[in-house]
Amino acid sequence: MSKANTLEIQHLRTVFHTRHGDLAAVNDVSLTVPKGKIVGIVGESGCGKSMTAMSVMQLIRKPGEIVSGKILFNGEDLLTKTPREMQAIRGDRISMIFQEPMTSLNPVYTVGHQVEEALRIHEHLPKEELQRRAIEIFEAVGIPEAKERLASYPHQLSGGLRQRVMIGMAMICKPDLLIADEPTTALDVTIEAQILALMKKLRDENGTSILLITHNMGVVAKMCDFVYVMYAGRVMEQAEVFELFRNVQHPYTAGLLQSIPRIDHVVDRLYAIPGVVPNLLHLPDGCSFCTRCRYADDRCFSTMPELKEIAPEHLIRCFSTNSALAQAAEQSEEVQHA
Amino acid sequence: MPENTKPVLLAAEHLVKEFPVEGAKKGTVVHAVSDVSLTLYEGETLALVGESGCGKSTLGRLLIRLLPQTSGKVLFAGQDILSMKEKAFAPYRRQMQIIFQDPYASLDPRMNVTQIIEEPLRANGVGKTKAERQEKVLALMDLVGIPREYAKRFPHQFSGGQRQRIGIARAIALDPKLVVCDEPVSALDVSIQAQVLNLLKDLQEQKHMTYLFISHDLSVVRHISNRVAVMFLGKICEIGPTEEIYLHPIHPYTKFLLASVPNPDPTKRSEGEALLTGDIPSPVTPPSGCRFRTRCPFADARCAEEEPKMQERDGRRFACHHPLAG
Repeated sequence: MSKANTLEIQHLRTVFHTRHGDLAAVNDVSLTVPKGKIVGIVGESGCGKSMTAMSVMQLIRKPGEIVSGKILFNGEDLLTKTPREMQAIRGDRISMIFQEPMTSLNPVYTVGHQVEEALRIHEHLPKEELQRRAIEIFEAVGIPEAKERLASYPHQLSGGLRQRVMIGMAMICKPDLLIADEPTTALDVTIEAQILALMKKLRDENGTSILLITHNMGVVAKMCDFVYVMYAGRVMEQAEVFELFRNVQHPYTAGLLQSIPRIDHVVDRLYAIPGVVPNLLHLPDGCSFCTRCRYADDRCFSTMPELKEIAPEHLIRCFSTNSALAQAAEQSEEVQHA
Repeated sequence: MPENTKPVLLAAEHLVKEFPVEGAKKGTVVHAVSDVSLTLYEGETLALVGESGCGKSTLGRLLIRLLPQTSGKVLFAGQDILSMKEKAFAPYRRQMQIIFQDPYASLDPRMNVTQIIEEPLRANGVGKTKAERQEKVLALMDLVGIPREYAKRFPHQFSGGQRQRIGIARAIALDPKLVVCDEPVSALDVSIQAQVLNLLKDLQEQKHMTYLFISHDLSVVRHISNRVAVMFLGKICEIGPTEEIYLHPIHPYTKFLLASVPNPDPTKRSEGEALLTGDIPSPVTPPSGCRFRTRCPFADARCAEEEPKMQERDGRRFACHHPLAG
């Protein structure tokens, strides 16, 4: 484990024991967040991106269970920590923000009380100092009239301000790692742009490492240094962000990118990945994407491909070689345009 | 063919909708839609875009008389449909349908697919016998891509994308002229969103329907619409052909809105871009003059005193004292 990595997940497997059998929400996921970098996990509903984050926080509840793997945080395996030790880490060294700020804030306490709570628990400071730090963090996250706002209740704030409060709470102990689970999905675009800019600013100023979970390829392109694409519990493709968008290799990632309408150019018809995400209880035998893949052959239906490196730091879980794929993709694009 | 030579399907004139506020602020109103006039041409897709609370869904509902207006008119095929008696309106109602955002909430969980799609047929006396209606239901299922063997299944047995297809089948069952699509793909994953958008486009071509497409997603809007109306706090800022508006926005709000959309291309990251500051003002106490002025970097004293009037330029209408070059 290199000191340069804040988080290193190794072969993580998180399983839910259901009436109908075990389903692996996170299946052999390995992922690294280098210090001071923004790493994205992107994928559709049910791909395991949030469960990966919840596993890091050890917020998996029964019938879910982390069954194997390692989660190294600054070199120490979090899975060997006691619940008490984890409590000391959560909110202090690792913080998390969620999609819906209204449901993650307590409606009966003022936001000032809630922001100070993290400091009260982790740093035992006198009251005046708590308030000073709370005002300081509110100013840092761009909440106007910070001092007056401490006395507000969550319902008195707009969605954008609530998310700023959440970020303030998450950042007040200056964590090494911030996990942001769809932090802007519930917000309007002009507010989303503000919140994303704020997260980048905090990263630049404090050197915080960020694990950003999103379904939005635009947010990935705008924010991330490195990207993992997940599908049905597994990483299908991983690469540095510029490499990924310039040189997409996995048919799933390529399909996702082609299916998004673009604001900067117009196509007559969108490419639509056929079918739906498979049920995790009834995954196909081979590659989990084979039933929806336009390049799948017999081997894909019988064997799960391993992740393989096809360019420096660019890995895909697919049997196809890149040149064959690229050719096939070009042909299909010509057909689409015809 | 230029838009304005197409026949007019619907025209809204000075529509206003105010909702009374209950509780501590009783006596005040939410200005949801304020003096909106627009025209829908036959066979086009007009998109209504704007942020939450801008009044786009309320406007969509006013246009098809799902909500009573505070004042104003809606002319459908030349007739004022808002002043009619309910009975006189019935033949118009079947020509205007709506597709809702949440396919989980907009289908009755106790009805199976056949019953859901058949309901509008039954209610409007389409098909003489049950068998005739069944045949029509199956044809509609084919059309939207729901396999026939699922005819007796219930909504909870379908995925989100399939549910939205059922909602679409129900909406087009009576061959409406106008369909209001209220955020029809916002609840869907991107791979499914593309399937539904393609379906909507195909159906429009086959059935020559007119769409009012309500959405906050500017990328989807660019893909699907011929014309766009940008709304802010109950008013239209700018309305015109989609390409023109996306390439050369005239209203500052349109420009900032477009610039805020994260582009799925890391080479187009614009560091240090100009962001809109502040939040959307309250629709209970909208700013005086231009409603956008509290967030607008170009606002001056005139914007606070005088409400900008709709002006026309190159086939576009906009309301701003400081229009961009375009």
